[in-house]
Amino acid sequence: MAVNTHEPEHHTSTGLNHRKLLMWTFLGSECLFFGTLIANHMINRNKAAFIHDLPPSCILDIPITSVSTFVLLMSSVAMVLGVAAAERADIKQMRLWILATAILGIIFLLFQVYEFKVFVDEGLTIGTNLFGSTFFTLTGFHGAHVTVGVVWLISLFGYSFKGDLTPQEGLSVDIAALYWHFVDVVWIVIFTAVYLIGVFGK
Amino acid sequence: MQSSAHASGHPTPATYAKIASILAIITAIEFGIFYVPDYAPGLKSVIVPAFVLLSAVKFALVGMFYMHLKFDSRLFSGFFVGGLLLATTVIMALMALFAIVSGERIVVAVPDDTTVDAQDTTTDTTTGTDTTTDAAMAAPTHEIASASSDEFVFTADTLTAAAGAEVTVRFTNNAVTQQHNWVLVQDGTKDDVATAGLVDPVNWIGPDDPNVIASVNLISPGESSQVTFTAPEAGTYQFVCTFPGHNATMHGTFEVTP
Repeated sequence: MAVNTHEPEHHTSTGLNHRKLLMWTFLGSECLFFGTLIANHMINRNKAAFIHDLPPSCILDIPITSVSTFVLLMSSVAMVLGVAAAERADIKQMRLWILATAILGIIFLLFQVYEFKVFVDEGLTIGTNLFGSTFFTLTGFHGAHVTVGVVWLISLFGYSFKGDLTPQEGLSVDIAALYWHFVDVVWIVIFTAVYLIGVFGK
Repeated sequence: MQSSAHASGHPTPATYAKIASILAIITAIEFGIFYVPDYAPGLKSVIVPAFVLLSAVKFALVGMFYMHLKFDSRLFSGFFVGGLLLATTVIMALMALFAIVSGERIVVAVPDDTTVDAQDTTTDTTTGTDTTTDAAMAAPTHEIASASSDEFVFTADTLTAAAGAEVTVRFTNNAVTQQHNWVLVQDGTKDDVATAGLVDPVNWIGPDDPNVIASVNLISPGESSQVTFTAPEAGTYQFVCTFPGHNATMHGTFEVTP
């Protein structure tokens, strides 16, 4: 029997699950949060002091970042398959896909750590110039969001061993998935605005 | 009251896989387009909009299918899209306010200025005549530098010269990472000159700014450069660094005695 990803009847004035509505409201506010950080970076990156006589955006590596973007996109695919498994009450598949999502998320974070390390070695830190401060603040906050997502997913993975898949738990996976997809979507915007357009504009 | 059901139009794993392929293909296209300019310079003006469009498509696909907005209650879309529209409006407003133009910024390293170039030509703004010093550079009559840190201050608060004297100001950038310049301006106009300078991302000095009497070009840490000019008539003037934001604290007084 299919388990739907909704809690047992809990009366709400909208007829919608309130936890899900809360997550969507939160994601709407997160749009504003990342929107301001992205705007701030786009405004200030061209006014930054040069490093080694080069515009700071020369330091961005498009090929490697394309790979990490692809990894994060695939993590969203894994996530959606996990939700589909939860809806079929296929707990084993659900666990597999949740774990796969978390692992792909960790791989993305490793790419970020590597990139940050290369930048610092080249002389670009958060305190170097306007580019460094805006770039690291933006991508640092995004990385922190990914990290929270990874911890959340691993918790769900561990929790799934406790018993049968309840509708409550199915909903939890659904809501975690919304957060995870949003984090992916924010990266899509960052990749385009900061990397593709930022480097291309030079 | 029933919770909204996923019953109608629920995507299958096959749909998800199809969307995944589209997302991957679009990312590959973006990667490919990025390198197109090497071969087809004429396409540059459409490429930025192309990036924006492609990423918007990815955004919409993830939102509508993976996040289920297409099949869920409109209220969810309302909350999310509302925030998204507000964010987009704020971004565009900020960009319009700060006139984002990603242009070339050229830093000219002039460690020892032994060639006669534009910087050796000074314009007397009262008579409009240009004078060029010869290649054996005039010895500096005034030395000034930026603070030996990234603080936005000069090493001197006041410089003094006699009216009509030939002045050679040598400016040294002792900062760690900040670029600076030195601009002599009419009294009280340092902030106006800095604002007018925003149009020039090379030296941050507005072209034909009537308040500018003489200037040293923008230089990087470790560099120094100088300018020779005739001191204007007796009175009080200001000097300032017009790099955006520096003018608030990086300025001083230039006294011309009779």
